[in-house]
Amino acid sequence: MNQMGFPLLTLVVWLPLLGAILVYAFRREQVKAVKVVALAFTALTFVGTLLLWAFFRSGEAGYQFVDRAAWIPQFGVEYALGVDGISLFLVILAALLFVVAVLTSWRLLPAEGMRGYFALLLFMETGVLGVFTALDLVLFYVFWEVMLVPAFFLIGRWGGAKRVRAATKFFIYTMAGSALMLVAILALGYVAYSATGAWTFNVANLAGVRIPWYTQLALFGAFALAFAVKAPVVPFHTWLPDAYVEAPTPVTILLAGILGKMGVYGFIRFAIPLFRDAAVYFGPTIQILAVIGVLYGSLIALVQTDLKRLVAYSSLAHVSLIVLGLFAVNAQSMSGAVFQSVSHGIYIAALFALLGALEARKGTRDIAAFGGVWKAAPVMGFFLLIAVLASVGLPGLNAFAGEFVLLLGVFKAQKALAVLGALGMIFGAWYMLTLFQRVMQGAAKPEALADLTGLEKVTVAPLLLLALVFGVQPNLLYSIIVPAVEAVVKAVAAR
Amino acid sequence: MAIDLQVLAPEAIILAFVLITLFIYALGSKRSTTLMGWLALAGVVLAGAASLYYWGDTAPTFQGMVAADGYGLFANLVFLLAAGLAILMGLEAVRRFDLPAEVFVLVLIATLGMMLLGSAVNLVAVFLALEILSIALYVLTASERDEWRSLEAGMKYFILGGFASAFLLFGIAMIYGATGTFSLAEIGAKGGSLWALRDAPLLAAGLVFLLIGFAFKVALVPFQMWTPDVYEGAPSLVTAFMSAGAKAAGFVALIRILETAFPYWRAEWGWVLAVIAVLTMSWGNMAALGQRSVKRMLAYSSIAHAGYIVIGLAVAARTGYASVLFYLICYTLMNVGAFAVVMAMGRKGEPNEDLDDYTGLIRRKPGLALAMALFMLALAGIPLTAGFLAKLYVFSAAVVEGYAWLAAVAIVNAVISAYYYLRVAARMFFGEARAEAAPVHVSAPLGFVVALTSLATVFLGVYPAPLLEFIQAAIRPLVGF
Repeated sequence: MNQMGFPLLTLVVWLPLLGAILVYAFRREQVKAVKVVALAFTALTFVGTLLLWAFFRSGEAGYQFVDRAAWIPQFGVEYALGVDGISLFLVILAALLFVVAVLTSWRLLPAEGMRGYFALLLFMETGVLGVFTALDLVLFYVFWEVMLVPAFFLIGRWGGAKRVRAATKFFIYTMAGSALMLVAILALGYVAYSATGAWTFNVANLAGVRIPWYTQLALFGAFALAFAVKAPVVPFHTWLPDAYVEAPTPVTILLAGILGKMGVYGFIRFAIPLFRDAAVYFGPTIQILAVIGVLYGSLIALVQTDLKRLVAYSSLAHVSLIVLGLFAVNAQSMSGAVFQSVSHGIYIAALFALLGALEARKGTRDIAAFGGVWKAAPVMGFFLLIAVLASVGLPGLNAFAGEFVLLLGVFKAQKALAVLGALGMIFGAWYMLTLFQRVMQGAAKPEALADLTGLEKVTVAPLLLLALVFGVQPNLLYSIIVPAVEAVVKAVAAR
Repeated sequence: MAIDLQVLAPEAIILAFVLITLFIYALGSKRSTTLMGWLALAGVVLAGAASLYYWGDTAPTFQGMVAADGYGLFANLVFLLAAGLAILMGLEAVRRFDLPAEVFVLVLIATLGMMLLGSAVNLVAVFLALEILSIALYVLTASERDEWRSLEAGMKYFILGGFASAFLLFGIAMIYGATGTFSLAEIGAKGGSLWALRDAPLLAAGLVFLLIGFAFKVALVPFQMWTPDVYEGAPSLVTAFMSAGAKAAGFVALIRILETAFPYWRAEWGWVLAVIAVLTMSWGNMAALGQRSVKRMLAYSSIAHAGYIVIGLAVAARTGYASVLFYLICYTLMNVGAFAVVMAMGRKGEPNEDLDDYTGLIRRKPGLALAMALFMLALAGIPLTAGFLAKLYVFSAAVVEGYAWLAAVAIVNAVISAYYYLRVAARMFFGEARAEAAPVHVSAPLGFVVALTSLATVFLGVYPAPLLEFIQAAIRPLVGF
């Protein structure tokens, strides 16, 4: 049993699914009630994740709040959930972004099919939370794949003009990426079985297993492919612009804010600690791909004329930087990467929420159609300014606290890569500030845009506040992240 | 050698109900059709109960022809599940598509053949059982008598099936020539020492012909050419029954024959089957990609799934066979469910099988569309459905037995298949229905089949432990271990 003597984590993970079912207790026309249920369940789940934080024993490296039960004893598959310093904040971020997603869905979508929409959203939340908390590899794979189903239907049904194509591409790419991971999971289980005589897929039991060199290379490759597609790492990123742009805004927030982090999380939780030799061997290759991603994403973002597409490519650059930090495999770079995963989730969500608000008012995402919005909508301008500044890494806001530590860690190991990565930050300042300038400043277009509504303010303001708090007080997170990361780094060093 | 009637109690029950339904058919009027259907269903349920009641292992009986071991009895349950679902679909089909009442009798006869095939431990019994099964299926395929494509399918199936039977019979003759016996156990005992003798090539040739015969029956590449046309042409309930039940019977018998009579050549037939598995799943999936007809797509998908199942045979080990049994149950559920939806879409003379007919189904029949989406996801192998665990089991058997590459090929295939399965889901959920789209009517028995199969598909995907336990117990006595 865990520190609470109560399966809090299980409750948190499955609560949204309960909400997804309850949504259907209402009639089709009771749109308001359906929304309230969705909001209530995402909010409750968020409160639950905050309880996890409150009761978390910081300074400890191991898993906490562990819930275990036999699931398929014939295969040695367990139902095992737990969080540690690496996953805790990703879980909280996920729960927060689902609240944000529900709030941004409030006015944005047509009333038709609202039950299905919110049921899928809540179903997806259970999948995402499961991915971040599963300690059994098969269970992890189940959550990882199942989560694709609601994402597919959300994009395909409520997305933009090319939504069916984008949804299918997203599904097939991710499934193709993770397909070999399933075989690798089974093979890893078999390696452990040969060594110990018992079937297990529990990550805690597998971490100590010695895997032959070539097997390790193959298994790491299969895992890394899955995570590289999800994150994404260049050249596996081509599904990203389509999916981010075609998805409805709330889903874009989730895709960019939390789904990509699943890839990052997969690297640090599974690929690196389980296949330590292979991770060190392949690390530089992946880092080079990451640096290419940083520069490529930034350069492409520079020439975009579409609001969402620009931020989508910026997101590619930022996530690539995180991957760069992960594979430097030292405590600083990895802690920075985990911190930055959380902080990127916060400001990218704010950015997409604001862009969604702009798009909803103007009916277009073309940057040239905007100009001088600040005059008509000062609150929106102010919010966008903070979000943009957070994303370019202004000191005092959260991205700086993450990227600085991350790059410092990379610099200690590989100076050239750190410099190239930092170059990405400069490009970032360039394209994001240009975006801000072209939308908010300059001559106002004749038709004035309405400012943010109260609901939109309530949705975005907490994110910006968090960006500020984590920027000023990064130790709130680092004190919990660092011990867990150090355990990983130590395991890799002692391989 | 005493004749123990208990051994064949489930088969005897089915036979009794064949006679009862035939009797009613001879005496009754048009109105007795429904009665025949319910009686056939009662027979299936009783036979299932008998299989469970007589659970246990008995020595081969009827002059060493059949054995009612846990393996055979478990196989009975798979066949009876397929038969029961097909009969429920038939209750609707006799009304909607004007099928003759004989379908119920023929489904029972085919089921009898399957059950005998599952328990046969003698090549003569294998052949007889296979013919009982096949001939009933030929007639079933052509049972939509005023539809040209049903008649054409029946004819094709009959001629090519005849070829397959000839191959099989020829193989059996050669095996007899080499060993002087039809008994699987005796072939197994003699064959091992034959290896050095001059008759070994004859035995090997016999095995090859036998494999070809079975490959025809269960539609493995390169003997699958008849499948798409036959599956598309046959009434949906027959296609569902064939692709689930008859295939299962073929696999169950093949496992018993290979494992009992040819254990000493495991490495050889293992490799042959591994290659056939790769060809079968790849061909099935590639061909399914381009299909516009949902029913024909499902026919190709059925070939692909046979490829996945063959992996479980190819690894030639207990876990592999257990995974095949589990796969057969899961596949029966999701596949019959999908065909039930296809049938629900159709009307007399208007099959409505094109992708376009499914467009926007979520707005016309939400329940049906949800169920179909579930079956598609399950067939694609998405977790929390039976389809995922079925694949997981087969793949883990492959990895454990050193066939990790086969599992890798199979999973790449599964990704390819996701594309055409998703396309159906995308059509149903993302498209706008045409105004003139035909109304879809789901009657009670058909609705029951869809509900039962979809619930079972999810249930097995979430909580498979009891069934796995059951299967592992059933596989234990398989002769040859």
